[in-house]
Amino acid sequence: MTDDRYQRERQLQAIVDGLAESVAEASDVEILEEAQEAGEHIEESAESLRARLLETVKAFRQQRLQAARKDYVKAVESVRRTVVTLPQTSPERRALIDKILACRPDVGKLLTAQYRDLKALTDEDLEGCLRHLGALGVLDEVLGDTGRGA
Amino acid sequence: MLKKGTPTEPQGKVATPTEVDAAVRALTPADFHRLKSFAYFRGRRLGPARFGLDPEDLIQQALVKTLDGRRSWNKAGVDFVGHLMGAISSDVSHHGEQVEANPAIRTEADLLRNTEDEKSSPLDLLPHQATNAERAEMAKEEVERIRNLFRDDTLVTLLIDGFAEGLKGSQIQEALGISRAEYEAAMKRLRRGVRR
Repeated sequence: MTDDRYQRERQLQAIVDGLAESVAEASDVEILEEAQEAGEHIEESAESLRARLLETVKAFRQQRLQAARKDYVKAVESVRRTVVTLPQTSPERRALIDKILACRPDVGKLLTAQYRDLKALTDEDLEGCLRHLGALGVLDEVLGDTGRGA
Repeated sequence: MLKKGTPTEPQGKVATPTEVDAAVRALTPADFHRLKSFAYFRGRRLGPARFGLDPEDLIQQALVKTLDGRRSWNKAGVDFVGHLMGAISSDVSHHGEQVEANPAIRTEADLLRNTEDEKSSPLDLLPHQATNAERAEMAKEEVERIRNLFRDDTLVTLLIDGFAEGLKGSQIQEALGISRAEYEAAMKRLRRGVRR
């Protein structure tokens, strides 16, 4: 009995699979004629489906952007939460960043455009830059525990 | 001739949303109707488990899986229409196997709640409203309906018999000793009749 039930379903599946297969092989003219016979408005329904699919792509992009934004906010939060001891005065901080760049020229290449002109950085930006480097472990690596805050 | 779809399990390079967007924009009306017709017939495989998913839903689901990488579009190997057809086929087959393995009843509320999860596919969560016995009965009625539609068309009836026996189109054509043109003309009648 169970076999018989499966057999009936399999027969139907085989027939509709054969039909689907034939759709893949039919000419464009046949496809359009059949759609028309099925009551479709050729252009209208094609454009409606195109719009639906483009909307799906757009929604997916927005979803990815939102996810990227969330990741960014998390990363910024993580930098903020990292405890980094920095020198107290602005000249000392500028001296510290010079020292880092001297020891690790590769870090200079990684700094974003925002940070590249170091002399033009405001004290606030300079502190942000150092905190980022601290969160990345560069301060510990270059200066060691004793060098920081000197 | 279209390059036919192949199973597109996640592997290789994933097409970017920009590439997918461009591919959707480049589709012709015939491409859209081919996809709809393909999804219509493939979707009938699900029988009562389709639960209101129409051909456009199946196409959209294939697109979502292409975007998020669950189905990789190998641009060098298959065109976009062929890729989507392959993805639709895989989804429908996968769900058919799930229905056979676990005909548990699920509610529409389950379906809607679960589809809010971005990684879920409505197809993966389709409710299995009908029992095995009900599905078998519906399948039997549908096969009988199709046979009745063509009881005066000998060639189409032979094609139906061939598919029901598990033969592929080319095998049926060869077994019946008919030309490609005769086979295609009969398939065209069959498609039109079933969709009516």
